[in-house]
Amino acid sequence: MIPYTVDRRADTGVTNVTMGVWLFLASEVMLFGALFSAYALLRVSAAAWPHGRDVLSVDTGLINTVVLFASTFLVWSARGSTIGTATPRLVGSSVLAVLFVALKGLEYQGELARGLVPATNTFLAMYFTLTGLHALHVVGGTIANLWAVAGSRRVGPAMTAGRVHALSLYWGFVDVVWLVILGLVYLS
Amino acid sequence: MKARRLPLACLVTWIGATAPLLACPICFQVEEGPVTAGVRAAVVVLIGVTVGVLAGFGVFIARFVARERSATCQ
Repeated sequence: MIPYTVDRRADTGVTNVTMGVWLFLASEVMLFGALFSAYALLRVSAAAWPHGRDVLSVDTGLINTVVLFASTFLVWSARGSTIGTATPRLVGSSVLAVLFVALKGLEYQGELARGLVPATNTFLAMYFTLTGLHALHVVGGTIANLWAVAGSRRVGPAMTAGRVHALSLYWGFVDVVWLVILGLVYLS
Repeated sequence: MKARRLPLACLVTWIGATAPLLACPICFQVEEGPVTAGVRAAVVVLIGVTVGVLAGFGVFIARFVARERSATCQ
């Protein structure tokens, strides 16, 4: 068994789980940072750049924001609670995350029906790349939520608490990235 | 001995690297254009993100050192 998955290490002051998640999130920041850098390059150098609010469904974007934040809130509210309390919150968070992806899928469907595809222009290429990668992260978080629920009885309350803590950090990151995407793509 | 050579090596590297850096056709070209402005914006964004991540690591390392010092004092 890997040590310090439950107890904090005396030298770092955090568990190995928390340390691992922070390192993972640092790499994720660099991944999205590279994409936002590409967005800046394409937008500033473009002769014409459409307004997201004229092309995309801002209402759907705002509804998805509420859904995603509610999902994250449920994970954060599960921190420090018992398995019996944390399980329905993680399941509820997963349901909201699935709703987020479903709304995103409907949004894509409407855009594709109007002939708005990534090849149309660089704005739409960046839109599909950023939102698609973000949606993949939501799917990954949903799988991680359900994995934590499924293993909670087997690994016990202490390790489950560590997993919930790690999930809350991850979902916080997913929210921050969505806010940046919302501001750059939908509202600009 | 190695510690004395390090600043000299850094100085030589800095002087040697300055000319190629200034010759970068994107950031230092004379003609302004939308592509130049775009690349500059991209570089600024990427530097901002990288500095943010490195600052996070810096804070963690500083905390690490502080914990090590307090443990040594005890």
